[in-house]
Amino acid sequence: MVTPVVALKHISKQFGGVQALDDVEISVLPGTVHGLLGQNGSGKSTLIKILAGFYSPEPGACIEVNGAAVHVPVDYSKRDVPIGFVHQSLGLFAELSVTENLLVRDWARGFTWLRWLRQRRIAEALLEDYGLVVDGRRRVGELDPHERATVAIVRALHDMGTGRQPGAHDPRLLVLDEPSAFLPREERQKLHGVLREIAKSGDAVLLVSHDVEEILDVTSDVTVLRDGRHVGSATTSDLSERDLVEMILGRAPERLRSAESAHAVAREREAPLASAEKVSGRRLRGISFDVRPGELLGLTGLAGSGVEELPYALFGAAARTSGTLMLAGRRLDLARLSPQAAMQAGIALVPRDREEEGGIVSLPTGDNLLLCVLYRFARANFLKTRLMRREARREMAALQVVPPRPGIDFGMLSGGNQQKVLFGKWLVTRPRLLIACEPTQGVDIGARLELLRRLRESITSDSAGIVSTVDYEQLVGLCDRIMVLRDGALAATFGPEVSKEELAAAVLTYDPRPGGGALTTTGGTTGTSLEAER
Amino acid sequence: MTEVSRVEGGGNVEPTVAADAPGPVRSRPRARKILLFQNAERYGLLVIWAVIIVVFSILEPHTYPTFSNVSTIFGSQAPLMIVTLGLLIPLTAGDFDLSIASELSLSAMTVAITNVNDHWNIGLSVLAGLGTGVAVGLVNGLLVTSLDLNPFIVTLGTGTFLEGLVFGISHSNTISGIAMPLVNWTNTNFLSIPREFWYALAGVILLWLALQYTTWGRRLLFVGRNRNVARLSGINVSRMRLSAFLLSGVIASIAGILYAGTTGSADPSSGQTFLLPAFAAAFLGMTTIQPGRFNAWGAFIAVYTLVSGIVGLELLGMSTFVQDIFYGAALVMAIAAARLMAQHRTATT
Repeated sequence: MVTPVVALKHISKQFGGVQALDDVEISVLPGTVHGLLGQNGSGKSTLIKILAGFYSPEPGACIEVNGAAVHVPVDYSKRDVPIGFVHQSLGLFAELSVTENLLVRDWARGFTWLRWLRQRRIAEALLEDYGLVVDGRRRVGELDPHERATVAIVRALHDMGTGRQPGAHDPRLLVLDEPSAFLPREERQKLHGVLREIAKSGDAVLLVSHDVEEILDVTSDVTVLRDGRHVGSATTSDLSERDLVEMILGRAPERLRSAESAHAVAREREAPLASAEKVSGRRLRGISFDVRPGELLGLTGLAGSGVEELPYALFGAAARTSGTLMLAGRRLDLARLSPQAAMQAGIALVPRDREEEGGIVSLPTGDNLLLCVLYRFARANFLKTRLMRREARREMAALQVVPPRPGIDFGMLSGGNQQKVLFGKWLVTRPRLLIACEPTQGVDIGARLELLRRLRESITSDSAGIVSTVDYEQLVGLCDRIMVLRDGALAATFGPEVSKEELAAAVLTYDPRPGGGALTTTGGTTGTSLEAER
Repeated sequence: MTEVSRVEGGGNVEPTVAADAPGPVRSRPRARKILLFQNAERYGLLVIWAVIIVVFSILEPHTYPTFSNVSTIFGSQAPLMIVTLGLLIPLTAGDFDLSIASELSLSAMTVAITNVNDHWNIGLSVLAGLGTGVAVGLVNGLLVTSLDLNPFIVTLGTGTFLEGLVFGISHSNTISGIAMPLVNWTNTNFLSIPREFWYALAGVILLWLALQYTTWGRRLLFVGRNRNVARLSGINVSRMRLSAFLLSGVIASIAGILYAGTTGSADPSSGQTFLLPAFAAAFLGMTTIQPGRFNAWGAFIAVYTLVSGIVGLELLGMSTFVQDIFYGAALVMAIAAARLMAQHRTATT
């Protein structure tokens, strides 16, 4: 029997009474690419953070590295644990050269002269081992996305080697946390080639992914988590796409219905409140859609599908956007739209990052809340502060912010209360089109429902809302229509009666091509049943 | 909205980690302790100022606590006070302006040269001085905003450039003999204190109002704290930063005009002596009145606290090098104190 590179057994973790992981196990064999799959909230990232020594698991857990039990939580400070991590953000310095990025940790200690030619040769040779031929002097920022990912991966492998005893040739484990989410499809193939190369050399890869297609393509074994539990481990080649989706969801995906529902058809007749045309950008590739008055439109997709970008593009806050937006009879050129102009046209964006984009943590909540409507409290440019205070207190009470005191710093509020304030900040502008980006991220479950209900209620007959999130489950039962993005294009549109499973299947699997029959989840003879819009 | 922070208090806040829980209950002794800390923080510098005055009054009863000394202190520091006020504006917007001192020299020198050498009417000369402020402010602001350059480096460069320019146009000479109307306009006493002090005080009040009670001031504060939030809130960040540089340039030129009026002359190297004191006063002022924010009253107290100490030491017979020691130490201590206070604030609240 082959000794696993890393074996985790009896891993449980509770967060304040919530069972995030319940007796999970996983073992990764040398020479394999092992997939770790599951929906958002299935416990994947908690498991990875335990492996990374970031969280302590509950007592009883056991982590073995090459057959020997290691101390839990894992201590990486001595650099003697042969496990390396590459996160989605890669952690590279875009302005520095390939050589500098790759070897930076060799230079973290001590004092030696750097002989650049030699260093460059070392870096180039390291990369060449994994099939990447690149000039070590190039800036990482100008590499292709898959080349950047490869640099990060090779760096992780290289760092694992640096702290070890010479002569130690135990296999190593590389953990990749959704490394390809931001890669275009053809570049993913190249990255997968690198992963196979690593496995061939006897090391192992643990690949965390949402993406069923990717798992099928590159992994040899797979472990699926659901609701914090270990659903199963299997050899990938024994599984079909349908089997995998079933393991992830816990039940067979239903046959997918057509996008059109009676509700949507009824709405079809109304003139749209807003129509976006050929919206393109960094990830977006010519998306067109309408939003009708009174409608709440859901927008979802995997990370990197463009779902993060579209809200900002519509608000004039994303670089390199093109396309147009017709809103209530006005035509906005998205290439030149600024946030100010978007606001004047009646668009509001509740941004994704509450503390970096939404509000200023070191300033009073009341000031944050009324920032966009300061003009209402000004006479000849002088602020009527008493009126502002009263209005802020009134709004905060209406939003049920606790404590409802405008003087408290925004950063002192809990996540849910911060989000309520940010909703309020934009609702007071009385927007025609309210776009909320990941509105419930980091918000506890009670406040989450409350927030979504409030969002729903804020939409009137002559306004509309868009909720954009990668957490697609929360859109079900909330939105009038749900659009799924994939690779920067619209993959599918659903009516309000869509089930979680249908939506999950559309988000997680291949986008169906008209007549292509690429979708295996239907299980029927009809071939494609998802309607690709336009 | 300052009202808000003052009445509601930035600090009299209970732990709100679990703010979803029903309304917090305040524990009395704790609240009193927090209030005490807040007041100590807010008025600490005023107390230090008072202590300085008392100590030097005891040490030098015949020279320090005299009316003429007080009048000199208040009057002579008016240009510093004003140039500090100008500096507060870009600092609030999150930008450094290191060219203010050179702009002060340039404006003073422009007044002197046009009035003394070229025999312009003094009113026109003053306008020319103001014009240099507009020009320098615009250049700084446009370089920083339209080319997205680092303001620290840009203003270091423009400041050095201007300093050289001033030496060039003056042939490194002090030019004296500025027309009396300007000298009288700055130096005549009002309520026994030179008029320029009252101008500076008016400036303090104006800036206080502008920063606290206008939409512009509120926007400036948001831009300074987080450009991204400000941009996504529909604020034109570039325009706000440009306006901040423009104003600091103009205000520095006003300080230069007053400086020319105070001495009746312009000295090409005079401006540089204002740079560090202005930064020291701005940062020291941040520890008082409205702790954590650059604020006009705080800067006012800081300028005069520092000067009271320096004049006292000079009367004790120390030579002028104490100025540099005093201002340099004050700048470093001010930012250290601000940091410690902020940490304490987060810890107690």
